Amino acid sequence: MKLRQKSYLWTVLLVAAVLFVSMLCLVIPNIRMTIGSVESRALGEEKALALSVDGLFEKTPAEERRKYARGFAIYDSGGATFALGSGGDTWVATEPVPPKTETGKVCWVTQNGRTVLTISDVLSDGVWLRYGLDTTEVVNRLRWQAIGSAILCTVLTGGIAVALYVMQERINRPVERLAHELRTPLTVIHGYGELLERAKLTPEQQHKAAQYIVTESERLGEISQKLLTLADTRKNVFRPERLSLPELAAHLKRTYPTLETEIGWDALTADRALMLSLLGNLIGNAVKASPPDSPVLMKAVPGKIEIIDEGSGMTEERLRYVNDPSHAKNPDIRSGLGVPLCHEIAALHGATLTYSSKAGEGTTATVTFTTL
Amino acid sequence: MARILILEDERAINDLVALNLGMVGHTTVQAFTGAEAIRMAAIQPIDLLIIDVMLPDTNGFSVYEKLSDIPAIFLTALGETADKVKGFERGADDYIVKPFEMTELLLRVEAVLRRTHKNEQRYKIDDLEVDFEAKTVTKGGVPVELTMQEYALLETLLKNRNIALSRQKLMREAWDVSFMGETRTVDVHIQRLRKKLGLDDRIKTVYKLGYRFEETP
Repeated sequence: MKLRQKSYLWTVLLVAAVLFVSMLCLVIPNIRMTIGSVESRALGEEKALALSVDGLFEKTPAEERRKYARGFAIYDSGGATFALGSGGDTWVATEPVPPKTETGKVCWVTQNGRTVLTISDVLSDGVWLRYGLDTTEVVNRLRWQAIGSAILCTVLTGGIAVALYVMQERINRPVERLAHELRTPLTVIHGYGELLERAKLTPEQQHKAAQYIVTESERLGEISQKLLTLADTRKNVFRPERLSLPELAAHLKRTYPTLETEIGWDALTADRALMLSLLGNLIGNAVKASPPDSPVLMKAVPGKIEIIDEGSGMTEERLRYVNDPSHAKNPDIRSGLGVPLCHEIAALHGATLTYSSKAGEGTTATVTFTTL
Repeated sequence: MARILILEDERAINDLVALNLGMVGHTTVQAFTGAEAIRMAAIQPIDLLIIDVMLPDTNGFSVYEKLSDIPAIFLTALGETADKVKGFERGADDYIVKPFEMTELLLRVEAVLRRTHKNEQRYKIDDLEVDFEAKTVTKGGVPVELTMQEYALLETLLKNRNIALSRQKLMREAWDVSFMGETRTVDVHIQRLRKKLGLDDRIKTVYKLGYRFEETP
């Protein structure tokens, strides 16, 4: 149990990791490309601007140029060092060059909630040009893209985790049920074996112990048979053929001599082994629930087979379980492999299995063939 | 000896527990449904309940709620840890996981009975009398001097009478020695016990298994 949960957790974590890594692999080049194109656009614009400013002032002395440049640029009254240049989102500033200015290098600056790309350049005669491009929108778009991918990854991981869990439950539930059903024969065989080995028993006690060991090992055999049938239905070993119902009934009567039959349906198309297993299970349960002399009736009308007993009936909770074993929430209900197996076989034939029962009055199991 | 009520719906297991407990002298009452158990507990004094957690009509805990003044041991299947927790929360005295060993069952039963002072105080057979409280042994009314090891060995054999115990099991249960290997000490002490108490016919060597105290020769 512990181990299973652990391996499940690891699987989910692995899936999450793979998803996130692959999403990163997709998103990062996209971000890189966008930033690259913004930068190259800025570099180009800056160069054009620098050339035009330089060209504009080619013959003028440096002092004059600075003045002109100031005149060309419009200072932001808010005190920012940028001024509006060619586009709506670019600035140009011309100022004395601060020491240690790297020319032609792209810098990203965040100021007052806006992200600005700046490039510094020194023009001829020491005029300093600072170009700025407002990239807030681009950066925001990229940010939302990244957040969106992360959310997508998380949702996908969640979905896969749920799917894995459901699958695991589907695989494990019959196995758990089987382990459960094995418990009694194992306890009995072990216990009586130990008694025979260690205790001084009277001949009657010895006989009883041996008898219990034999009957319980037969039960083990039955469980193994059921498991094989279950494996077959899972593997879809399904060979439908035309089966004569009177013949099926006769076959079942050999196993259950007390069975009474009322056959009003000639033939149906079904897998012989599976159909016998289904009907055998239903009849077996009915016989078990009935007092020794009470009748069990197999009644067939076209499209419907009913197994009717006048036995002990079922509690409401039990009835809910046998009608839908996949939704059994209460582990206290003793459950074998039989009921889920019957449902599975019925489903394989496009049929439904329903039970109706009244405690003390008996039970009717109905197999209804909907697709025939 | 104690009167023990067994509530277990599987007849084979119910009989098994009853047979095991009967082997060492307990009286057993067998119930197969919760209602039956409650009815049976009402008409006679019960010293201990052994309850299967999974019952067809109800579960063991809800039956126990109606009988909770009696000490109880729960039978549970392997790996049903949630059951154990639930059982202890509701005051179970112990639990046994199926499949279980006989000696394990007897040991737990004995432990709970000792706690509730319902255990066997003395044991008499032929002219031998063992007082488990005072840890004394008399033969024909005359006290017999036993070493601590000898007494512990005798007590373990008697508490598991009619059941063969291996030498390892005897060492572990009687002397609390758990190492494997040298078990000849057990043989030596068994020889002395037989000689001192004249128990040659009672303490039998069981081929390939160990020793068994037999009540019926």
